[in-house]
Amino acid sequence: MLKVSYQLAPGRNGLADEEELAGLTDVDFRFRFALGDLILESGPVDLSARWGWVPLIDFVIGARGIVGLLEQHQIHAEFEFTESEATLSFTRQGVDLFLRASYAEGEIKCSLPAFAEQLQAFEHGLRHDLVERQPGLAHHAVFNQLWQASG
Amino acid sequence: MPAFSCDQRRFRAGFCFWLCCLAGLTGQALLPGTALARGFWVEDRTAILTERSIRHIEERHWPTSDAPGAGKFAEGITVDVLSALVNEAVTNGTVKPNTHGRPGQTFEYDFHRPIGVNIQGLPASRLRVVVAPNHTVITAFPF
Repeated sequence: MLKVSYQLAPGRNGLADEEELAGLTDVDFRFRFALGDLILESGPVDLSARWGWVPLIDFVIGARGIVGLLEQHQIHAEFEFTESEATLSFTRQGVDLFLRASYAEGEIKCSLPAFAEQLQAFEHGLRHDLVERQPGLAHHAVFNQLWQASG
Repeated sequence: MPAFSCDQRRFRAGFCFWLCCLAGLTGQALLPGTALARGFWVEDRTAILTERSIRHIEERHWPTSDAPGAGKFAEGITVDVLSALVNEAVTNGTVKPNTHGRPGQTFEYDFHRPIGVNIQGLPASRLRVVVAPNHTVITAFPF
């Protein structure tokens, strides 16, 4: 059973007061905000990046871009993490998707639509969690533009 | 606030000149975000290491950091040494637009000597520097 999920790091984690919030840029949201763990599992294979610092909005945007390329018949794509040389590789064969990580053993096989569906749930859940923690984000132009760009 | 500016701006004046000519011919302003502007990328080797940059790097990539899954600088690293490494990488390294639509540019440079360890804990001789559109360093790590 494929699981694509996240765990937000504890603490302030980029949350800002209202004045700071207004000044947050796309660089802030993609590198410094909503950090945590990326959870990516299927059965006994665990390609999770439980590093605490993974920028989760950045992952959503990057992974959605990759899914878009694979849906347009690209065969292979790689996601680079922001703070290391670690990569997640995505290889499509027909509708099957094979995921491998440079930092963990094993391979996850799933369907591309199943991954896309899990990623969409990840995105909706993360956005909901972030707005719940910081309601001002609901009206933050840059924040909303990032989600539109990813979706 | 101390800022360490890499003094090697190599702005492609010629390229910008032709870009401006193109804008004049087409009657379109080359504003960031326009369809026309998105097709171009101007290499700019300017990097400013701010206090915020240093804090970000120290938290993840300093030898004393316990952040997992991130390369670490070698013991003995100081802000001055970091500044020199970043300066050299930005001056002489390979530059490309940031990946996955992330803002900014990345610079990669091989020092051909260990500057730290990669995420496997093996000696790393290369440095990646990520620079924001406003020229401030977002992060830098050995790999």
